Amino acid sequence: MAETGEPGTAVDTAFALCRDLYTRMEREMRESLYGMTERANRVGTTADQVCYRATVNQKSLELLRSWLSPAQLTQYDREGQFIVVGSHSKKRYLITSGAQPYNVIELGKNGWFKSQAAIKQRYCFVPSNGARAAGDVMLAQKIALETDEQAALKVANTPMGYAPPLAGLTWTNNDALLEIEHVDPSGHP
Amino acid sequence: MKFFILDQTGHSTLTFDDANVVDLEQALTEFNDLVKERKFTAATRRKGETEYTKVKTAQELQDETLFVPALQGG
Repeated sequence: MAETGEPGTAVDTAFALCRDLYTRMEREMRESLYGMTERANRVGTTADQVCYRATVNQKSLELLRSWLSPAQLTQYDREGQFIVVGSHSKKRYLITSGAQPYNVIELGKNGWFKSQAAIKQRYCFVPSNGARAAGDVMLAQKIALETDEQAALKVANTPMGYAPPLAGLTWTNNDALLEIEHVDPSGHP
Repeated sequence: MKFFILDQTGHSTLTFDDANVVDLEQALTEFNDLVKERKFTAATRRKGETEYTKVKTAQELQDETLFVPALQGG
């Protein structure tokens, strides 16, 4: 084998190259592992938060169900929304999913609507203490409209101009309204 | 007697023993704090019933009471 330069220098150079390579690989692996750990922690935290929110949401929906009148519960189980009667005006409001903005819909006189244009007005009001689980929001809206409609509407926001369409809105029907009239003609309470 | 208080955890439940004077005093204190100080709306009903009434004094409380915080525009 032909030798170039001094034998000791070539070995030293090769050793130095190996050491550099090893150091770089070690650093890259450590950084990679650190990054993976960080990502794993983030994913874990997110998963915990998702589980916690799901639990809170479930808890709030159970409470909501326990405070709905029989007619409202029937409609809620069927459509995921329910009608309440305003304590003052006796107008009917449809409370849809509390996870959406402007989820309180004032219905026309006959309560029937088939298009966004037929909705008289939409409102949005929520608990001021940060309770934002869907069931809590819907329950707060129900109690407010049934006990102090005017105060609720006073603080409520209404859409300015275009309001986003409600996702997954089920068109309510006259059967649900008739049930309300039959079970609870005077409204709550 | 049970209090359901809407909060960020879904709701909190407080249970008071109707036969215990200390418990009743605690319930009264809690009611006054929520309704008079923090402006919660209180809706009360008998156990197992769905009809409720809005109350402003602790003397009107029934078996289960729901406390709804003041509202704001969403």
